Amino acid sequence: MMKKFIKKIIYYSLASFLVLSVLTLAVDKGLRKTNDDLYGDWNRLFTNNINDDIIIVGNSRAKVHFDPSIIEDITGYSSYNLGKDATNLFLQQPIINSILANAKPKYIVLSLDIGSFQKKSEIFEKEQYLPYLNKPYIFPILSQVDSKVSIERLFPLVKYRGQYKIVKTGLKSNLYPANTYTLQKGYFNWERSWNSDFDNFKKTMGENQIVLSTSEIDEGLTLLNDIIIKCRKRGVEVILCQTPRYKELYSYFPQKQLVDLKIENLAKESDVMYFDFSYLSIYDNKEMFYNASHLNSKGATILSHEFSILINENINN
Amino acid sequence: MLFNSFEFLIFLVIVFGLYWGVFRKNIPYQNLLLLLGSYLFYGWWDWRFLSLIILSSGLDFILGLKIDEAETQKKKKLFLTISLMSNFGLLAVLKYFNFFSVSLYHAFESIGYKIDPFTLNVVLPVGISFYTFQTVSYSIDIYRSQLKPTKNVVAFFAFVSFFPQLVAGPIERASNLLPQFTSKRKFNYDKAVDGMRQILWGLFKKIVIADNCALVVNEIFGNYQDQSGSVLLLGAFYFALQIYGDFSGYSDIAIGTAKLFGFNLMTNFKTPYFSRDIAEFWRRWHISLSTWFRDYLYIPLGGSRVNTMLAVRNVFIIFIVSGFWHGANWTFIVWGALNALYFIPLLLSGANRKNTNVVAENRLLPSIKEFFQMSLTFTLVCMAWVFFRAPSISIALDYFGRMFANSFLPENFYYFKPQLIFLIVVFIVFEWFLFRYDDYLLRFSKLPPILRRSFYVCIGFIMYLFMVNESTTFIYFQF
Repeated sequence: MMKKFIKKIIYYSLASFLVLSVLTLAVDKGLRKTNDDLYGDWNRLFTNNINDDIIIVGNSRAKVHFDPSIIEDITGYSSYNLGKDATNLFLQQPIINSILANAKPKYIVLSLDIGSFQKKSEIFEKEQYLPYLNKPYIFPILSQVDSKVSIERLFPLVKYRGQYKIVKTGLKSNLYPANTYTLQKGYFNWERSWNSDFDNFKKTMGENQIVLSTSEIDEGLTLLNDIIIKCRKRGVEVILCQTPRYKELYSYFPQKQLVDLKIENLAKESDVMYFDFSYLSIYDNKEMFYNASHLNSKGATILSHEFSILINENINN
Repeated sequence: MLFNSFEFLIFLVIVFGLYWGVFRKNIPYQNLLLLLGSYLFYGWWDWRFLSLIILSSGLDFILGLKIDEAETQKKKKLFLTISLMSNFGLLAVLKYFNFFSVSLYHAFESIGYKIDPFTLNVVLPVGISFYTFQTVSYSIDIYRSQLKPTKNVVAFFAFVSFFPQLVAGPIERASNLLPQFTSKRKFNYDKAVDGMRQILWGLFKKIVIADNCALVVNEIFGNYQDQSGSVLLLGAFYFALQIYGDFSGYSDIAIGTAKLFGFNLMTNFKTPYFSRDIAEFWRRWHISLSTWFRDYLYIPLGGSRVNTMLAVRNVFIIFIVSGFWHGANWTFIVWGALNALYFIPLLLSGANRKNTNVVAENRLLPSIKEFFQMSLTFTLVCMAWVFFRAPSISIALDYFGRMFANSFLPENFYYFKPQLIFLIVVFIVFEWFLFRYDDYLLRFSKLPPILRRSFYVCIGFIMYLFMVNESTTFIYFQF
C-alpha cells in the first residue's frame, strides 16, 4: 500500500516535472523573441543588436532623463538608454556586464544619485531577468540580493510560478513574437505634469531624512571604481553624471554634498569625465518635473540638450 | 512554519518518511516523533512560544488526572477551576490584557477622569486560542465524566501540539483525537490519497483564491475613502472569499496532512457560502469552534430550551463571545453581535433548523428560491465581514457610509479584475459540483479516473500560474 502511494506521488511529481520543464523552455524561448518594454532591450543586447556609441545606464531617472535622439543630433554619436527602474549601482552590474559582453560602445554614461549607493533587499521587476538567469554575468549579482534566485536557477521550473501574464506572453511569442515596444531606444518620453507623489512622500517622511550608512557609501564608491576599471579594460570609457531633482527634495538628503564630493574625487583620481547637473537651472521649476525625482519630457529635453553640449565639447575636442 | 512554504514540504517529507518508514511498528516512538516534529513546527515561528504550550499541556495533563482521582464533587470542581483559570488566565493576559486596559482608559476618559493605561509589550503566540480551547475541553470532559484521562504523557502532549491542527484548528475534542494517539495506526492507501486531494484543494483555496483576493482587498480597504460604492461592495465580497479560502484552505490542508499520518480530524467547513439562512451558515462555518461553544457554553446556559428572553440572551452571549474569541477588538464583538441579530429572527420563528440538508440535493442547480436565499445569506455575511476586516468600528461604519454615499458606479474597472473573477468562477464551480456534499471525497473517488486526473492537472496548472509568489501567513494564525 505504501509502495503504491509513493509510486503514485513519484509518478505525479515526474509528470509535473516534465510538463513544467517543457513549459519553462517554451516560455524562455518565447520571451527571448519578445519585443516589449520589459524584454525588448535585453533581447537586442543579447543578440548583439545594440551597436551604439554611447549607452546610458542608471535607474528610472536615467530612463526618463536622457533622450538618445537629442544626444545623437548634437554629438553625432549614436546612443541608447538602458536605464532600469529601481536599480542601484549593484543591480546595474548585470546590465553593465551584459553591455561589455555583447556590445561595443565607446562610452557608458553612468547616471548616479544617492539611490545608486543605497542597499536594496529586493529586485524590482525580477521577471525581466528570468529568461537569462543562466547568463554567468547576471545570476551571481542577482543571487546576492535575492536568495530565491539561486533556487530559481537550480530548478528553472519554479521561476515562472505565479507569472500568468509572462507565461502567456512567452508562449504566444513562440508563434507571434510580441511587438509592443513603446520606448525610444530605451528612453521613456513621459509627458506628464507635476503629480501628488511628492506630497505623499513628504507625508510619509515627516521630519525624517534619507541617510546612508558610511559603509553603504564606501562600498558603493569601491564598486563604482571597479566598474570604471572593468570598463576601461574592455576599452570602454565611463562618464559619470548626476541629473537634477526638484530642489525641495535635496533637503531630505543631508549627505548629498559629501557624496557629490566623493564622486568628484573618484572621477579625478580615475580620470573619468564627471558632469553634475543636480543644480541645473530647471531644478526649481515644477513644470519640468512630474515628481520630485523625475523630469518630465520637457525637462528631459533640456537636460539631454545641456548634457549633449558638454559631452560634445569634451569628446569631440 | 507555513503550510504553503518550501520548509514545510521538506519537513513533511522527513516526518512522513520516519513515521512510516522507521517507526511504523512502534506507537510510542511514532507519538514521540509527532511531538518533537510538532514542537519544531511550532518553534519555527519563535522557540519561546514552546514554553507556553508545554506549560499548558503539563498543567492539563496533571489536572486531568487530579479531576478524575478526586473523590468529591467539590474537589473535582476545584481542579477544574484551576485548569480553567490557568488556561483562560494565560489567554486573558497575553491576548486581552491590553484591550481591557485601553478600554478602561477610554471609559474613564469619557467621564472626565484621566488614568494612565498600562499595557503589556508581549508577542501573542500563534494559535494560542486554538490549543487553549482544545486543552480546556479535555478538562471539562473529564469533569463531566465523558472522558477518562490519559496516563500517557507523550500521547497527551502530542495531542495538544499535533502540528497539522495546532495553530488554526480544527479545534479537536480529546474524545475524538486522543484515543487515536494510543491506538495502532496502519497506513491506509485510500485515506492517504484522500488526504493528498484535500491538501491540493486546500492549497488551491489558500494560494490562489485567498492570496489573490487579499491583494485587492488590501488595496480597497487601504484606500476605501477614495472608492465608489460598487468597489466597496466588491471589497467586502472579495474579503468574504479571502477569509473563506484562507481558513477553510488551512483546515483542508490540516485534515489532509493528518490523514497522511493515519489520523481523522473533524470537518471544519461544509461549503458555508451555499447556505440558505444564517443558522445553516453557522452550522457550516468553523464547525469545530461553533460546536465547542455550543457544548461548553450555549447548552450549559440553557440553549434554546428556556424562555424566549433567555434564549435570545444565550444567542447574543454565544455570538459575542465567539466574536471576542477572534480578537481583542470591538470590531469582532460587533461582528458577533451582528450575526446574533441575523440569527434571532430565525430562532424566534422556529426556523433555525429548517435547512439541515445540502442545498439542491441530487440536483444539478439550485431552484430560484434557493438561489435567492443563498444570495441573501451571502450578502448578509459579507456585510458582517466588513466589521471583521476593518481596524476599528468607526472605519467600518465609514466604509458602509461611503458604500451608499459615494457614487455607486466606479470611475474605472481596475478592481474588477477579469483574471481574479475567472479564478473565483472556477472556484465556485468546483465547490458547487464537487465539494458541496458531506461525502464529497467518496463521490470524488468514484469519478472516472480521467476526470479526476483532469481535475488535478487543472488545479495544479492554475496554482502554478496564479499563485501569489510570496508565502503569506494565514489570517486565523493571529487568533
